[in-house]
Amino acid sequence: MLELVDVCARYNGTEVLSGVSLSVEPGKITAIIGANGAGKTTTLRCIIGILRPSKGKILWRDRDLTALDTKDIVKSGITMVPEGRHVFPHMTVSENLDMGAYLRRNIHEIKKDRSWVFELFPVLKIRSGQTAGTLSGGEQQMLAVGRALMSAPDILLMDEPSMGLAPMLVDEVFHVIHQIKQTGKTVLLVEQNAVKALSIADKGYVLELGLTILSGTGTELMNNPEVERAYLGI
Amino acid sequence: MKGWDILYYLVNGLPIGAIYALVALGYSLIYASAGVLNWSQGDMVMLGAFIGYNLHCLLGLNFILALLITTPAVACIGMLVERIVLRSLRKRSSPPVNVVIGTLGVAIICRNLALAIWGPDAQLFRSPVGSVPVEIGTLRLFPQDIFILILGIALMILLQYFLKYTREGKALRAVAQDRMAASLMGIDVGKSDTLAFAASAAMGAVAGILIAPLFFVTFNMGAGIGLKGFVAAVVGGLGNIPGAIGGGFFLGLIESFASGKISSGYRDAIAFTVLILILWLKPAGLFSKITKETV
Repeated sequence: MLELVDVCARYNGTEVLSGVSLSVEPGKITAIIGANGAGKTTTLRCIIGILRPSKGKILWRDRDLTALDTKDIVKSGITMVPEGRHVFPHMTVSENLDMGAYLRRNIHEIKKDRSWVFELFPVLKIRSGQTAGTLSGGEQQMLAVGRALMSAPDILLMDEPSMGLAPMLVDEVFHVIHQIKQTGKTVLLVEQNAVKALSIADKGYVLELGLTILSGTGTELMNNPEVERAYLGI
Repeated sequence: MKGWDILYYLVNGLPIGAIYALVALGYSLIYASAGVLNWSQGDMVMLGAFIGYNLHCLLGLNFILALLITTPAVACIGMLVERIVLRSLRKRSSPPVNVVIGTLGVAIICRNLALAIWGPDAQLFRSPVGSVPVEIGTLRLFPQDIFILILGIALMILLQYFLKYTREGKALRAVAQDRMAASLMGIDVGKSDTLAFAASAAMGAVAGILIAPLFFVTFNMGAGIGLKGFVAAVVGGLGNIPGAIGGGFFLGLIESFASGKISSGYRDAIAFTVLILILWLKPAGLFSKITKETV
């Protein structure tokens, strides 16, 4: 279980997180929702070590991640699909997937995961020799997810995977997240599209101004009038 | 222009172009990975020339052996520059321009150290492959020029292979294309910067030891060659690896034409005028359209 205990973080001296506490249960989908600037992305950045929290603990497998570098956190089994995809534009689709497996040595296992990724996203197989910069937005999103899966993570952090995608592709992305869960992986999802996120989430948290203000199962939160107010950001 | 003329300019321009390309690669590799300019690149050339001179000419070591010792030695100096200047300044989140000034400091220190160790006099470095030219018609091919071309191009191919097919090389390209995403893959981005500095210094060292027999070895030779290499890198598009190679050869040929057609005294002025024109017409570099790929 991944657990955040009262995590605070600052950007250039401004406090962005002022006490985020949440727990991510294994094999489940956990969603973080909230308005723009609530601290959702910052929370993920703290977990993966791009940003160091100023206070609080992030506990994973008896270790506090707040003291570790990103590469050691990735080594410990956590990967992030960043907001805005961030594929390597001048590398081929195939090379991008290789980069996802950068820390792994077992060629046989890597091959197995590669064919699984191609099963999840058949279009990536077709485009495997193309440079990632020539893919459409939707294809790049799939590549970003596929690349993250290539590191064989136990926990997949996903930052706004549906952002900027056509409605049909949004459905596909959520379908894939559900499929990933069914292989036993844990997903922590950050989304603006709160309805979609809560509909597939086992558990959800609502962030407001850097604080976790509500939590509950996906359905509980969906039926909560507070939530409507929070995620609409009124 | 007659066919012989063109050959003459090629023969004169390509070897020095290969040297510029090696130096330009150093700038571009570091710029691609770390996003900073390394002004000590020219002085890595000087150090390569001097250490090679010391081993080969003073201690009488075999040239190849001298090359094999000099290159990793200068690469280590490059790594030291990354550790001391880039890493420590980055830890204090200084702006990139401070790093650039830091590397300028390194350049001046290197120059003064060389002055203290080897003195102010220009040193003669005899070509290890002899100086008797091969004559074909009116054309004279010098063995050192051919040697420069072969070794230079071999090194460029080696670099391309490293970037394309090795684990660390691919990681360096990933860092160059998206530093944040690279760290999410578990890549040690700091190590990639160290590698870029080491490789750049190594290429500078080889350029230095190759060019030493063409000119004299002096403590301040890094300034001129460093500037030329930088211009070649900018013409090819800073951070663009194939562009740096193209930019280097292009600059070498322009110089060759300028000194052959007009006057060698105006060589630099003409070369730089052409370069300003190119940057005016194509601000992203001469090769921005042909090769979109950076690293």
